[in-house]
Amino acid sequence: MITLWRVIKFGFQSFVRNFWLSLVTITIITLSLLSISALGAVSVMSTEALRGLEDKIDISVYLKPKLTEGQIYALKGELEALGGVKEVVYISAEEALVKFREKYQGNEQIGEALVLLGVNPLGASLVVKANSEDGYQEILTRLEEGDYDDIIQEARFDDYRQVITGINDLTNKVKTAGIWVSGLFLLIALLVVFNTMRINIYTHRQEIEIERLVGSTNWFIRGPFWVESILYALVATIVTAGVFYGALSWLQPYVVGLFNGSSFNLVTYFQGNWLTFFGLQFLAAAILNMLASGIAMRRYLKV
Amino acid sequence: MPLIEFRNVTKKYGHYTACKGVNLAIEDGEFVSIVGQSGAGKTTLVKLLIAEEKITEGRIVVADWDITNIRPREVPILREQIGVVFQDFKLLEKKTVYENVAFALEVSGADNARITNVVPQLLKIVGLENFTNQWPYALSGGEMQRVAIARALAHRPKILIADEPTGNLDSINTKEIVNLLQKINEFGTTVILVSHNKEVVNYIKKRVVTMHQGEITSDQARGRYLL
Repeated sequence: MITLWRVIKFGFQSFVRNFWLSLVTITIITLSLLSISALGAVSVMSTEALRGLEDKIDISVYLKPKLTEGQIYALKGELEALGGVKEVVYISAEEALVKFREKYQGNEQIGEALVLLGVNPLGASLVVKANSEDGYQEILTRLEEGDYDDIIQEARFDDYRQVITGINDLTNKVKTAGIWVSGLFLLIALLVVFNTMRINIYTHRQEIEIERLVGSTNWFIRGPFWVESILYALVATIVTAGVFYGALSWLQPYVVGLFNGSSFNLVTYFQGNWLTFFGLQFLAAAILNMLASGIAMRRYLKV
Repeated sequence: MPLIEFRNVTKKYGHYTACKGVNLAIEDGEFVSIVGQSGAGKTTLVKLLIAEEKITEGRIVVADWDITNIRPREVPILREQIGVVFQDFKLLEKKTVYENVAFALEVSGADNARITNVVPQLLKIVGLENFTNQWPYALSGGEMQRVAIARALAHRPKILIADEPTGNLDSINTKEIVNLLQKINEFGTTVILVSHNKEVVNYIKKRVVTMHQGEITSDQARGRYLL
């Protein structure tokens, strides 16, 4: 136990004594982790944007006037029985008018026009949601086959698939670029850690020589270098978390604008997942650092 | 049974033979000077004894322990039994006298109570009890070598090897260090002095082993350095 404590102490001492070397190493690791974090943020935002769009996709089936409620519910039942249909919501003409008024609340011209008309110009409709994005076209084709011509005035499908494909493409491109950038930074970080350890071994060469002479175990000689490489990962992760949350807080108002007033909050999302998000980053950085340190020690530290 | 035994030991570096069929037995409590010119094989012998180098042929036995094919994880155990001091002292500049001596105990896992008990005793033996907080750069060569000796004694080794310990010292400090080594020997530690300093070896008047071109050419019980 006391040996472990001393290994940690020596690791800390070396970390502090080689301050500038530690600073450079941590900066490079932090840049790698920041690029990975940015990639994570882009991924979360695109997933959220796609989910928002997918929620908006539906088929509005506008019904002919003067249909009885019985006919409408019969059609609703038939549609619900179709393969690929998730749910069918009935919106009566009155409900449609209420929603219309709510939507154009501030528009005086539309309000006046409705008063002038004196009657509800809107008809009843059924809103059909499919189980999957691909199911909509199938349902639409089925509705347009002619069986429902006497009942359905128009079936309209707001096709967001192009937008979704566009977002997907963009996200994938950003992710690919991000992976390359992160990979490059990680490679640089690996080389920097390797070099840092090489310099550390060189600056501690006399200490190592004495340790060997007075009967220190290999574990004790190598231990502080392991501790130091873990410290680099830990400090870099903490700095990354600080910078990342700062950037997210600054970005959040723009994100709200991007999601058209949605309640999605990036800061809250990452606060809820900080342990997984930064825990994994720390783990990955620590493993990579230890790998680089291990190679450096194997090559330059003869014990 | 001798404390140290070299049995027909040969060490080769490629085509160069540093030690050639060396047979040497050192009894417990002896003070032995190994002398010879540069390249005679003295330091190689020391390196083989502390398992810094592997022997090419022969056997080495230390305190009934055959270290010929010693495993890497056993080397620290051997080195706790053999203290070594060098010409260049090998002190850590960023540690005080006390910390330099304590370092030997720290790295081998000694607890703090043992360190605070042993280090002052060692500094007293080498006459540096009033130098605990001094930095190495503030010490004379002789004082630095005393710190190195105190550190080498930290594990209470059976054997103390002094490889050219007076090489960087003036005559007064040389005499003091030799006297200290003799004092340590009188306490029961086997001392092996590696030197090419005639005056030092002849002053001690103990066993002298002379080496030349990797071979032992003479071994005298109360010998003199004649080369």
